[in-house]
Amino acid sequence: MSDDASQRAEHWRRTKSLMIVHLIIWFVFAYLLHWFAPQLNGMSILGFPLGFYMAAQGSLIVFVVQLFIFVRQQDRIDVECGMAEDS
Amino acid sequence: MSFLRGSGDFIDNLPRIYGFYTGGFIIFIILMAILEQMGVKADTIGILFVAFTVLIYAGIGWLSRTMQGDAYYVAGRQVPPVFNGMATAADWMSGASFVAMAGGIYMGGHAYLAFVVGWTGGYVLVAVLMAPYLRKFGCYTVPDFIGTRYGGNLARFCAVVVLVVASFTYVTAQINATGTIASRALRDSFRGRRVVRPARHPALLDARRHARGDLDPGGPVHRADHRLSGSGDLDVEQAGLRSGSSARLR
Repeated sequence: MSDDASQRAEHWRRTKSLMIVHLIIWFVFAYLLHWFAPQLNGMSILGFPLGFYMAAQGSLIVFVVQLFIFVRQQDRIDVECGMAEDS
Repeated sequence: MSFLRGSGDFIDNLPRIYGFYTGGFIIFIILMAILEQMGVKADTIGILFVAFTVLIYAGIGWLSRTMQGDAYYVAGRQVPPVFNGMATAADWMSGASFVAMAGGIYMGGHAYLAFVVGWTGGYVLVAVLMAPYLRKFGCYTVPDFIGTRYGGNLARFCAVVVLVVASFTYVTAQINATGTIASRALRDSFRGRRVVRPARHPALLDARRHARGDLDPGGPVHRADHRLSGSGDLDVEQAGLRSGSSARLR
């Protein structure tokens, strides 16, 4: 029983830190970057102003890649802590 | 089509069903292109598009009808992640994204991209904050999850309110987009329309009319005499009342 409890605690600890990391990445690409869009627009990527490009494509690419990575990581945590769903 | 109803071999058949649907869709597009080359009117092709879409949706809904909660909310937990992912991707590519967002960005420019960033980033929030726990809690819906997690109906109610407000906004854009597309296909203005009589719905009358080539914005006055000149069997008094002298001049 204590093993189960420690496993749960471990699972939550790792899930929580993973969550915090991904929320920080999300915040950077959802808000922080776009607050400084006027400054970023000074630079250019692929012929577009960087700030605009990040809103149109850059952030979205980051989000999609992040989703794939997050699912992989969360799955690994679930499996290693015995919390995986049978599927 | 009984293979859709089987339970054991559902997953095995899923690629076949999807292939069937995609293949059918491609064949339909090619068929429409051929019909267009053969000189079939744009009206007819528009109606075929709408009819095909409605029929497909009705067919899918009918074939996958169910009385079980598990099957209703999560398709019996049988659908593999890739197919669920495709469905989610299709959600992203909705009427709101295609029509409302394209127009919004065109009008609003850089600032309007906040919507794109917001609702793509929303998937990250859902994945990080909801997805790992939803199934472990054995819940079907977000309000269920909130209610279970935070205990009590007040939390659940708050979740419901948030969901309804958000969905309502979204559905408004969605229906508007659907109406815009349908009005293009059916050559009928869903904004300018003032009188809708179920017995002979204007959309059907307009559809029967020959292509005139003018996709007018469809103000009520214009529509009224448009209607008069197109087919003479409509009620003249009503059109005359609404469009005044312009109708009588014809």
